[in-house]
Amino acid sequence: MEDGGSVKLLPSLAFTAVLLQKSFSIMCSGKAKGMDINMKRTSMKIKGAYIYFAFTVIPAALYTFFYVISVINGIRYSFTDWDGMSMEYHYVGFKNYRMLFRNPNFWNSLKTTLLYSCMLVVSVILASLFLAISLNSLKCFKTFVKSIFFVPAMIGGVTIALIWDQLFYRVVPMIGQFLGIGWLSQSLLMTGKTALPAVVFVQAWQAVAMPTVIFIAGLQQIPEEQYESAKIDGATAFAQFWYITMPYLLPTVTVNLVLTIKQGFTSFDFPYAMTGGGPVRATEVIGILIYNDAFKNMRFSVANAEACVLFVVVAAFSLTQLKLTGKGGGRE
Amino acid sequence: MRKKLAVILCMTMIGMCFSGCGGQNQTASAGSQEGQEAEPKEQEEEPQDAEEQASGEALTIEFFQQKGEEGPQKGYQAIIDKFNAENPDIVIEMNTVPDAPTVLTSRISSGDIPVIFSDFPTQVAFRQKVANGYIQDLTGQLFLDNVEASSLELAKQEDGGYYALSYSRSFMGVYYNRAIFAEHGLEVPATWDEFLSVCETLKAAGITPMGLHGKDPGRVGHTFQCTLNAWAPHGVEIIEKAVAGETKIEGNEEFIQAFEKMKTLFSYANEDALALSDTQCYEQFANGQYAMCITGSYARGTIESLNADLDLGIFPLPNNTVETTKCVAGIDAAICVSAKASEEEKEAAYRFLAFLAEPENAQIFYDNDGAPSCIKGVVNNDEGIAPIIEILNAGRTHDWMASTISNNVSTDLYSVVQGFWADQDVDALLKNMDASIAVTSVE
Repeated sequence: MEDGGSVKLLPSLAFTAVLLQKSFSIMCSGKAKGMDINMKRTSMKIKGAYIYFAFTVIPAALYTFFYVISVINGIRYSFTDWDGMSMEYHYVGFKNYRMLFRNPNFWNSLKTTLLYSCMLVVSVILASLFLAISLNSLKCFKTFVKSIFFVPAMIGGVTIALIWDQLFYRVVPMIGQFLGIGWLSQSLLMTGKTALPAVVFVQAWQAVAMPTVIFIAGLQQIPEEQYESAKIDGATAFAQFWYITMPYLLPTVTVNLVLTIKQGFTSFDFPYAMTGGGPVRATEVIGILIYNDAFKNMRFSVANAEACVLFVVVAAFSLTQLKLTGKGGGRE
Repeated sequence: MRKKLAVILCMTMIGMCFSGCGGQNQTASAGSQEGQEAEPKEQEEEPQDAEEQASGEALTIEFFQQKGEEGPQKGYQAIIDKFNAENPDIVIEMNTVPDAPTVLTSRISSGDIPVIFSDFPTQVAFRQKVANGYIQDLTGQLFLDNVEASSLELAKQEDGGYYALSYSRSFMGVYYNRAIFAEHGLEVPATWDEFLSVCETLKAAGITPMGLHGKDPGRVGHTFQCTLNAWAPHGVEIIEKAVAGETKIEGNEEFIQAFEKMKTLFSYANEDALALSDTQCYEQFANGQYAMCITGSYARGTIESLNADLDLGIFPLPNNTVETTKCVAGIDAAICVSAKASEEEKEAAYRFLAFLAEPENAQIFYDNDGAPSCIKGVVNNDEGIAPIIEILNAGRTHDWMASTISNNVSTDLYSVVQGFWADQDVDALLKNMDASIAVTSVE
C-alpha cells in the first residue's frame, strides 16, 4: 500500500524517458544526413546505446529504491516478530506463516478474496464486452454515450463507495419494497449473503469503464470486410461474433483479464469504505485483513506474511492466466 | 552538444522529481490546515511573520493531534493562537490528518515522531511506545498538579511514571433527546426497569426508542463494551481470564444475563442497525427519529453539528441497580512529548503543556470539545450531561477493553458480537466467543 505513490510515479517516469529517447533518435537521424554515413552510424549506435542506457538508470534506481527494497524488506519482516514500532525485533523463522495457516480467519479472508475476484472478473469482462459491442454499433452520439459510460472511472473509489453506501441504505430498499422482493427490501450490505455481491457490484460498476474502452479499441481494429464476407456466406450474428470478433479480441481480453484479476485481488477501498469487512467478516478481503493486522492490531510481521502469501497467490494466478491466454497475448 | 543536452535533460528530470515531491508536501500541509477555520489561520500567520522579523527565528513545534472532529480542533486552535501570541519565541503548529492513529504509528516506526502529540495512555499500544522509549517521562512536571487525581492515576504507566498530560475524558453512554423525553413526561432512568418503562412508553407513542449502528465492527465493539460493563460488571475480567486460558465464556451467567438484556434492547431498537453507519445513526437521532442512541463521548460534536437546536442529554446505560451500574470511561485526549526531540524542543513543549493545563485554557477546550475535562477547576455548565459526569466523578467506571486486552483479541470479538446482532442467538455467541479467543489468544 505504501508503495502506491512510487508505483504511480514510475510509469510516468518511464513514459518521460521513452519520449526523450524518441526525440533523441529523431534528432540524431536528422543530423546524420550529409555526413560519412557508415562511420557516423556505427559511432551513433554505440553512443545512442549509452544514452539510452543512461535514461533507464533513473527509473531503475527509483524503482529499486521505492519498490524492490520495500518488497525485500517486507519479506524479511514477515520472518520476524516486529510489532511496527519497536526498535528491535527477532527472527522467528516461519512462525508467522505457521500461525497464519492455522488461523481460520485467514483462510476465510483468502476464500472471500478469491470469490470476490472471480465475481469481479466475470462481471467486469462480460459487462464490458457487452457494453463495447453495443457502443461500437451505435450510429449516432457515439462519443457522447461512450464518455458517459467512462464517467465512473474518473471518480475516486472511496467516493463511489460512499455514494453507493447511501443508495443501498436509502434507495435500493425502497425499490425492493415497491417490487415486493424480500431480500432487496433491506440494505444489501446488512446480511452476510448479500454484502459481498453488493460490494462487487459497486466495484464492477466503476471497473467496467476501462476494459470497455480497451475492448472498443480492439473492436475497431477488426476489418469490416471480414464481416461482409461472412454475411455473404450466410453467417449468423452469433457465428460472426464467435468466429470473427472473438479471435480478434483475444489479445484485449488478455489485457483486461490481467487488469481485472489484479484489481480483484488487491481490492481494499470498496469493501473498506462500504462495510469495513463486515458483517461478521463477510467482506473481509485480504487487503482489509492486512490493514487491520498492521495498523489496528500492531502485528506488522504477521501482516507482512499475509501480504507475501497474497503475492504468491496473485503471481500464480497471473502466470497461469498468461500461459492459458498466451497465444492471444503474443499476437498483440 | 548532445552530451550536454542529455545532462541538462537528466538534471531537469531529477529536478522535476524533487519539485514534484516538494509540491506534494506543501499541498498536504495546506490540506491539513484547510480543515481549520480560515480566520484563526490568518491570525496565526500574522503574528508568526511579525515574530520572525522581530526575534530573528522562532522555534516551530509540531502538535500532532488525533481528533478528527471539529469541536476539539477548534478548541486546540484557540489555545494555540493564544499561546503563540503570548510566546513570541515559539510557534506551535497543529497538524490534523485523517486516520491519525495509523499515521502516528507509521511516523513513529520511521523515527519521525512529532514533538508534541495526543495519544491514549490507557491503551496497550501506548505502553508499547513507552516501553520502546519514544515518549518523554513527564513525572515531576509542575503542570501535572493541575490534573485531577483519578485521571492522573488512569494514565500512570507500568513503571509508575506519568508520560502524558491527561486532558479530557472519554465515556460510553446513552445520548437522549431531552425534548422528546419532556414531551412524554419521562425522567432519566437510573435502573434497568426504569429504562425498560421509558422504552415501553416511547414505543407506545410510536417513536423508535433506541438507535443502534452496527455496520462498522469497531462501533459494534464500542456498544458491546458499553453494554458489557453496564450489565456484566466483571465481563472484561472474565474475558481476560478466558484469554489466559483459565476459564470459558460459554455458560457464564453474567454473560448470558448481559446478552439477554441486549436482546431485549434490540426489540426497542431500529431494525436496520446492521445497515447503519455511525453518522447515519447520529443523523436520524439528531432529527428526532430515535429518542436515544448508544455511543461515545466522541460523537457529541458531530451530533450537535447535525442539529444545532437539539437539546441533548447523556446518561449511563443502567443496570439492575444504581450501585451495580458501571460506565466505560478512559482518557480521551492526553498530550505527550517525544523523547527523541531535542532539549530545546522539549523545553518549548513543556511550556505549551503547562499552558494547556491552566484551568482557563482547559475551559476553552472544554467549551469547544464538550468531553469532561481532566483539569481541576474546569466548570461543566451543561445540565444535560450531568448524569454521566456524576457517575464519572463517583468513580463507578471501567476502563476500555484496549487497556488490558490486546487489539488482536478484541477486534475479532467485535466481529463475533456483530454476528450476534444479526442472529441474536446467545448460546451460539458465547461458543463463538470462546472459539475466537482460542484462535487469537495463541498469537
